[in-house]
Amino acid sequence: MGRVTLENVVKEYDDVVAVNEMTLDIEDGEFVTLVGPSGCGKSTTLETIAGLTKPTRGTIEIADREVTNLPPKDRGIAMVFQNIALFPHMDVYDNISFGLRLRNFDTDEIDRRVEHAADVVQLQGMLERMPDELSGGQRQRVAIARAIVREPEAFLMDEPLANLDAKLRVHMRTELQRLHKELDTTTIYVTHDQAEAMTMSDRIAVINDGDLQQIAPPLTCYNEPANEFVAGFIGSPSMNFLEGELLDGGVRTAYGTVEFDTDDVGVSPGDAVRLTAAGLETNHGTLPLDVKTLDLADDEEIPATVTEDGTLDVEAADLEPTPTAIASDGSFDLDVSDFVVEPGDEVTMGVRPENIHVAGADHGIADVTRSFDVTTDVLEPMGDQIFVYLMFEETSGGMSDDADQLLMSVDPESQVEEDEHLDIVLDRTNVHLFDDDSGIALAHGLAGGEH
Amino acid sequence: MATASESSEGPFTRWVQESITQPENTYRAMFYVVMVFFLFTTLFPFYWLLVLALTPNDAIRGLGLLPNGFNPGAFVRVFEVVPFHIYMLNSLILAGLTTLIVLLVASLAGYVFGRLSFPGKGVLMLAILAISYFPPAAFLIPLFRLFNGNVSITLFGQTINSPVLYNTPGAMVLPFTALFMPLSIFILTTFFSQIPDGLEDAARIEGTTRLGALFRVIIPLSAPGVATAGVLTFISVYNEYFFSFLMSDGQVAKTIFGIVSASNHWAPLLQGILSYQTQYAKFYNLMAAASIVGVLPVAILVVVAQEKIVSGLTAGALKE
Repeated sequence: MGRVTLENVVKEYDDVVAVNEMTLDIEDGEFVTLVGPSGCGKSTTLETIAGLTKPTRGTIEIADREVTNLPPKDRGIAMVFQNIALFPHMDVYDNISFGLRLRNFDTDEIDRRVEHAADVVQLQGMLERMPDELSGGQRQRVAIARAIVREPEAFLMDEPLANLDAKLRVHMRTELQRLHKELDTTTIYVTHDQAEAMTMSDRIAVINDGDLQQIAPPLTCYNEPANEFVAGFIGSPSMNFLEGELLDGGVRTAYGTVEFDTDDVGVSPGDAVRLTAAGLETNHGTLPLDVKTLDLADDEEIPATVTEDGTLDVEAADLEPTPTAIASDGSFDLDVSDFVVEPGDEVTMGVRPENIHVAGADHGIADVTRSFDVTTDVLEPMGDQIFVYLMFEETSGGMSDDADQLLMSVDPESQVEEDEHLDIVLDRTNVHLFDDDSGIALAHGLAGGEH
Repeated sequence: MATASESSEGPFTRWVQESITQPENTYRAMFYVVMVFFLFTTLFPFYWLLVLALTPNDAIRGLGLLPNGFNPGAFVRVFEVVPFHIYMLNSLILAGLTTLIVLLVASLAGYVFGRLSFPGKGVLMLAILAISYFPPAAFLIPLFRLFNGNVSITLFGQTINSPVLYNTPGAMVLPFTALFMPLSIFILTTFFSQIPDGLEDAARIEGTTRLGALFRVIIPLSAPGVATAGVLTFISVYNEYFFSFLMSDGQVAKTIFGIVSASNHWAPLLQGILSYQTQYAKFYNLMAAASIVGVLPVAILVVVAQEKIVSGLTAGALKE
């Protein structure tokens, strides 16, 4: 078991950057999921850790040993592949023991380990079979047994459940979690299925276009997404977004104004803030500023002030040792201008389907926004809830695009019909605000402001 | 209606109608015709050899379709007149050696062409394939000079003469290897490129090098391709006429133990068959018997490897 560390890993193919400055620090025994849309670089990242692809730049450490230039076999890792990749010309026993035999373990030890691995994945009595005599789930178990039998420092899993049918996938998901609990081996898991990411991981690393967007525990990614991409990607169905303009005391969208206390949004010049390992702490929450260059300890914090030109002024210039990100004159090399907001800024408002409620209904939410007039479009009863597509009054009747449409989830008991006029309200404490240009999160949850 | 029209039409019209409504019968008939034709063209020469071999040499003139007499002794006589088994063994060794070298080198080349991507891959592959279209006669004179020590290179004041390989296996195996390599590279490239990347990745993660993955996973899974390439090379060399005839003077060892001695000039099967044709007599019956005996090892090889070869020759064309 061991830590896996990636530092500024870059992978370029000709003129395409597949992985861009990826820095990950995965603790011993942690289960981290790399998640993102197809082609976002998550598999490439995993391949660089495995050693199947050599990074263009950057370093990779596994169990405190630099492995950037080592071949895969010397990295102490085991991998489970999407296409399972059992050797079709070998029986189950030979498949599982392949790595041990290559490393010249003696026969008794190989037998003992194969038996144990077969026990763990419940494959007893199938060791003589050939892979083509096994079902999909059994094959995947053999692949997992092949990985655990070597007792590696880390497991790498590249969408291992993607080729299984839906029911088996959920079953194997639970089994993998049980396995991780039992073996407590560092696991890096790649998937595009965010249900897998949410349910299995200690932390999720959301990747888009080769860039790490956020790495945080699943619920943090859900409740406090670092930016608009994470907000839209995590959660199913995904978050609704409305374009708007920041006012002094609210956001004006094309369909009405949402009022709130704009002091809670982003930062303004002169604000006192603190830098911690989590980002930029303000008096109303944490903003997702990239502070990895400061290399802060978990309990460390640096007080600072926001300047007029969108940088930070350090109040405690006597920090020892001075982090490299702090210039000699005591100002930070960190750009916070994305977080600086003023009335007139273009912003995007995000709200999840479950945070939209029918006005006047008994929703039990204390702090709601003013109501919006909408027309229901299509209903999707899911059993435990109903997804209702809503069209704004102004656009109903015409062709709608996603921007004019909201998705609301309501209780199955609700009396909602198609093509019905409805007044809806938003749960203000669960409205997110994102900067329009950078997509960066400015606020999670708004407070009712002076009207 | 049907009966009325049938009675008014002749048998040819009926036959045409029948083959339109029930084309299976026509197809089956055509299949048998073509089948019999192919069987005849491939098997008749063997039958004719057998007829020749069984007919005593002095009764061979004016031979019909049946043997003119019965003389199975010819099959023993072929080994008494000349050491035909040595000729055969020479051919088998030459073919085996060439096949071994070709498979080894073509496997490595096939891996590179089939599984890696690098600039100039297409051009290089084309160049290698082009070699197999060169007429062997084009190489003959330079090779003959080279293998007889007539080429010398002067480097740093030292003059090195090319080795004398005439009458040794080297003089035959080297050109055979070069001539038959491109086809094998092409076959193995096709096969290796169809092994999923995941299997090679899995092998490398489990603990093999790239070469280890080639020999432990890719080659075993491409067994039909390796068998096809191997058998094609083996048969081609075993049948080879041009270089074998010109790179050896036709002498062979007298006993099986002398096969590695200098008295064995590595004359192959073909020269053995031709040696029944002397200045004074032509033993057509012995030549025919020797030809049949010579075919046996290849026939056995093909029967044994047949299943693999058939799947090999088609697997290249049909992707799963």
